[in-house]
Amino acid sequence: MPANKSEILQGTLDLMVLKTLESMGALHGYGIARRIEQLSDEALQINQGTIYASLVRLLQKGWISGAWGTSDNNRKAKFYSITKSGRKQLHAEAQNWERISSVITRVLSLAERA
Amino acid sequence: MSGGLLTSMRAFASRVRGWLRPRPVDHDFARELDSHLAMLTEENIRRGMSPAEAVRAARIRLGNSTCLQETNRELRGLPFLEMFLQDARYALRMLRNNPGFTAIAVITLALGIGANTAIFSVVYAVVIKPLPYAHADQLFNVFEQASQDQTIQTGWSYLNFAALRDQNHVFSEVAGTQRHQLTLTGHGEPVLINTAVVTGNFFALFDAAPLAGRVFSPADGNVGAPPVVILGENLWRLYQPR
Repeated sequence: MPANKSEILQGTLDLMVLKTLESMGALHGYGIARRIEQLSDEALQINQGTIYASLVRLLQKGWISGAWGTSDNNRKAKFYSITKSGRKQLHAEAQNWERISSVITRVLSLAERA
Repeated sequence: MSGGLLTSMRAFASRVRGWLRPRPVDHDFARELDSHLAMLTEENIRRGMSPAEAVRAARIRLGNSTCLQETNRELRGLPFLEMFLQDARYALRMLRNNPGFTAIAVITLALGIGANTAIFSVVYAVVIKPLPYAHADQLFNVFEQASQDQTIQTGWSYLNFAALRDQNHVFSEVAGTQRHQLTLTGHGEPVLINTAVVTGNFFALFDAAPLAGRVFSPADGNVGAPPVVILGENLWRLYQPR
């Protein structure tokens, strides 16, 4: 296992942000946070501010880019969009995630039967 | 998330940039948070909250903005370096405020480093530094030892030397030398000089070449050969015609 709980959570938040940007196109921080909350059926209650730590990490790695723009209701906001290397990373990470989660599911169901 | 070396390098470069010019980025992030807060407030008002209530709820939803700014700054910059510089500044300030302590610390360090350097220089020159000859590790100074008194090491008689040279199976070459202090006269003030009588193969053994002229050859050691001498560079320069 790679690291402690918080690091795994960090990684999953980054992954969710990448996925959101891939499917929704350019979005501001509020939009990304809203979208993740909606998709998780409000089960994932995060301080919306934590999304920005994820955005900084992704920006630094060059997986997303950010630019100031104007929102639907005419408000200035910084819009983020996924880059080419971000898409590549997303696909690699998504596969990785599926492999790990299927392994964990298998192990957990074994443990239950035993 | 894992990433290649290039990704880590890009992230590091971005941190360095963030560290070099923190203010505009800070300002940028503050604007971003304001915008986010405004959107949250609008959402809350749409849901039927009063404006004051909406602002309060939005703040809670977003999280403590000072905290967010702090995290953002840490992620963007080089917190280790910043903390190190802070510590260094603090240390310097403390040193300036305690000149007595500073002086003692500096003197202790200076003496320690100085003594170590001096001792190491001597040890290096005497023990570690190889002799400036080819195959220095194969050069040995061979003594004779009197069998009745093990503590006395003596030189060799010529016959014993010749026996060692001709009969040993250890050394590929054996050369002999005998040192004398002699007085040099005939050129103004007489001077005391260090000299040595050496066997004809002496220079060949060290693989040493002269600055001028030739070194001794084995033929110079034959009985009846004309006497020859090699001068050290200093002596040679001293007696050069000007």
